[in-house]
Amino acid sequence: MRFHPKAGVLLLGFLLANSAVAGTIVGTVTLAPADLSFRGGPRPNAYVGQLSGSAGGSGSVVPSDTTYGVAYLADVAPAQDPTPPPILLDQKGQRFIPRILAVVVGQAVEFRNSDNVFHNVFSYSPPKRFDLGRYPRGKSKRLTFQKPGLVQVFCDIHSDMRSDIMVVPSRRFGYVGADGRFRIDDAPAGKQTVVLWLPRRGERTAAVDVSAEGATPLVLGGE
Amino acid sequence: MTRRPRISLLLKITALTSLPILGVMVAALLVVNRRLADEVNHTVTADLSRAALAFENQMAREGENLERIGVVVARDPKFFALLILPRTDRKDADFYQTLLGVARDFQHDAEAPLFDVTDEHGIVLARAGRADPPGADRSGWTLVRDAIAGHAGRGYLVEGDRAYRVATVPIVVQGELAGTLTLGRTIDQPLAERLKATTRSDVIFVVDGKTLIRTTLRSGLAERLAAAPAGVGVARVYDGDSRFLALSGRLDGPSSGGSVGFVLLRVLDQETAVLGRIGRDLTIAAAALIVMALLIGFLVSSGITRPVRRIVEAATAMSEGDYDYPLAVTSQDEMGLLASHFEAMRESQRHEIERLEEVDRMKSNFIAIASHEILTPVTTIRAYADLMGEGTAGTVSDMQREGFRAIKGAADVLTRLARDLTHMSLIDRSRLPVQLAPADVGALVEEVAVQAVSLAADRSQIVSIAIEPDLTHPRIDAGYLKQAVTNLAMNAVRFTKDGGSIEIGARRAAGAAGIAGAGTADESGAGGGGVEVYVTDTGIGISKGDYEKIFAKIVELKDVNLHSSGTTQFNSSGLGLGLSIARGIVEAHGGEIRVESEVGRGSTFTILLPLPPAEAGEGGDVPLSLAS
Repeated sequence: MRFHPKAGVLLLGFLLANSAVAGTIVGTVTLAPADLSFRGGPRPNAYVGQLSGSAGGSGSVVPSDTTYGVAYLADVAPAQDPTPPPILLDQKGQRFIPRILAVVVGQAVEFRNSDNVFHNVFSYSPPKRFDLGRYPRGKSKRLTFQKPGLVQVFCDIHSDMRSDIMVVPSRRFGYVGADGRFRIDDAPAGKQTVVLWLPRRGERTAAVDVSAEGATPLVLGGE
Repeated sequence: MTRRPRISLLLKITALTSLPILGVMVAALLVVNRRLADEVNHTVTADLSRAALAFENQMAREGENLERIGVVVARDPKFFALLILPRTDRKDADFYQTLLGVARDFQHDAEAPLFDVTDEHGIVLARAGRADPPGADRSGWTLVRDAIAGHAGRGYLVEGDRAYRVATVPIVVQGELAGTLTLGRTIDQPLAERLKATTRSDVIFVVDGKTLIRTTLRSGLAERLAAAPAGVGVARVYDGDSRFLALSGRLDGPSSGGSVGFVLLRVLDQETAVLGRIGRDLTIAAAALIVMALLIGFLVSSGITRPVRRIVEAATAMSEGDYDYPLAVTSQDEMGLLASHFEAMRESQRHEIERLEEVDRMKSNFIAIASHEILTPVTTIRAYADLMGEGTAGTVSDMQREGFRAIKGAADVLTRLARDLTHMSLIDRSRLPVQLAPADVGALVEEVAVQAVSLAADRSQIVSIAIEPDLTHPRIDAGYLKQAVTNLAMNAVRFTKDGGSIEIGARRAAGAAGIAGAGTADESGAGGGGVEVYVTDTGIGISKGDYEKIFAKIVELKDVNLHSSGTTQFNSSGLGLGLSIARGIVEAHGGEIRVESEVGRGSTFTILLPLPPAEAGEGGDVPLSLAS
């Protein structure tokens, strides 16, 4: 995951005051055509249209087929938050759906096989190394992710299948939509660090002063 | 005795008929053989080239296989998942350890001893099967460089004393280069053996002019070929033992760490064994054809020469007195004409001979009658000369007595002459009236010897007598035989100088085998044993060429006075018929006379009287003397 050396980070942040405790960060990522592809070429995301019912709205906290990345707050103690319920990573049409999934530390992922063929989900990524073995349609296996970081998920049988699970420290994260916009709700007011992760661009961070009231805008350069 | 032709006509014609066929055949054989040799040569070379092609194909297939395996491995998520981890996740030793483990798994399945994984810059991340630490830069290798550029490639890799057939593939994950994978299989003995089986040739892998792997046991030859300048080509080589055909070539594809070549080697002798077999078959066929050609030649020539041979045989028979040998030539050609001419000549010859024989017979008869008729008046002359010489018819003076004695002597000579002539004419007509009865040969010889002693004494010759006892022979005409021996003895005395010596003897013949030999007669006497009478002198001798002549009639007449002291005192007959008559007598007994002589040193005449067949057969070891 390369950062272009010349690529500067454009940061335009301002805070909207909110109820003294938490605010919302509304960010914009300037996306280049390359960012819209998972394969490094000009081809658009092959996942578009895979997720039913996802409107692809900007700043969603629900993964959709037009998700291009994850933005989250670093350095947030997750202790007081209740662990969200298990989330589904489906295997359908010989693809992982969704392609990008953000998981909160301690949250479980349900790996379901909805295909008529066997799949074998595994990962070599340091935050979570696992191999679920082969299993048929209808069966699902559950894993809990305890360490933050990127977990690249593959199917041993189908080399094109891939999913990136971003294990984030807290539920203060948002998906980057096709328009490059994201939204992080319930961000504590004050100085925070926003981490933006794009599959082909890796991570970059930006400091933001979150205001308790209203939305705090943030612009991040994709390049 | 007829002369045989030195080179028979049959042989000549056979040769003339067979030779062209033989020539054509041999020429054809040579041409075929030559063509075959060329063909085999050509075939062997072409075959070796094909083998080289097969070899290269197989090596290419090995490379393709490796590449195919590499492509499959590179696509396997389990394999590439590690390689596309974010760089931040790769730092720890755990990453390399895991990658090495994964690589070893795949290496095991790929059955590739060489299994190198590099990152997208050509830096080695893992070497399965090797303990090398990661970090080496392989971007300098052509194959790795090509793979970084996105192209799979095949080639060779030399590392230390090992060479590998390698294939390098790029690892591309979702459009992005994640690294390269190099798979390699050792160029080893089993591979060489497999290639040997495919190409039916010995295989030598050469690395930088040195033998790496070879299937041939001839290390010296392998080194020599390996050291030869590289380049594709066929060469004949000889290692002092066998001849080989060697094809050397270079293996395709880029090679790192050294250049890899190969040599295919075939024993030419083995290849040309077929030629040898065909040659042998051809030789057998040729031998059969030669026999056939000779047979044809023989048949043709014998057809031509048979009439000639018949005529030659008829001529031979004619010279032996047979005028009736059938010619049996019926052909109408020149041969038939020749045969009929020959027949006519033979007839006229036969009439001539018959006429001459008639004349001869008449002559003999005339001599017999005439000599017999002479005896009657001569007897009368002698009888009266005797009576009157003794004074029975009145007193005679000394002078008259001397005259009567001379008349009597002359009459004696005449009597002997007439008797000799009678005998000779009888012998001529094979009508000698021998009366065969048992008689002691020894006694007979002794009488002659005693007579000879008295004659020899006048000439100071020494006569020794050696007669074995009991020499009785069952079939002897004592009178005639005595005359024969006498003739020999008289000759000895006559032809030996004064003071010479003469030996007269009789003995048992020295066995059956001893009898055969130098004589002119074909028969050497039937059965073993018999009696020998011999007369040896130290006279003037006879040259070998004259052996036969001395037995001829009359021939010596003109030489009579040359032989002895010149007197006729010892000349019993005066006609030189002594030996002829002796031979006639001995032959009438079924025996023979032999002569052995050396000019100037003397002669030995031997009368051989074999036992008649019946007696000899019964006799066995019974002593010759049958008198007992």
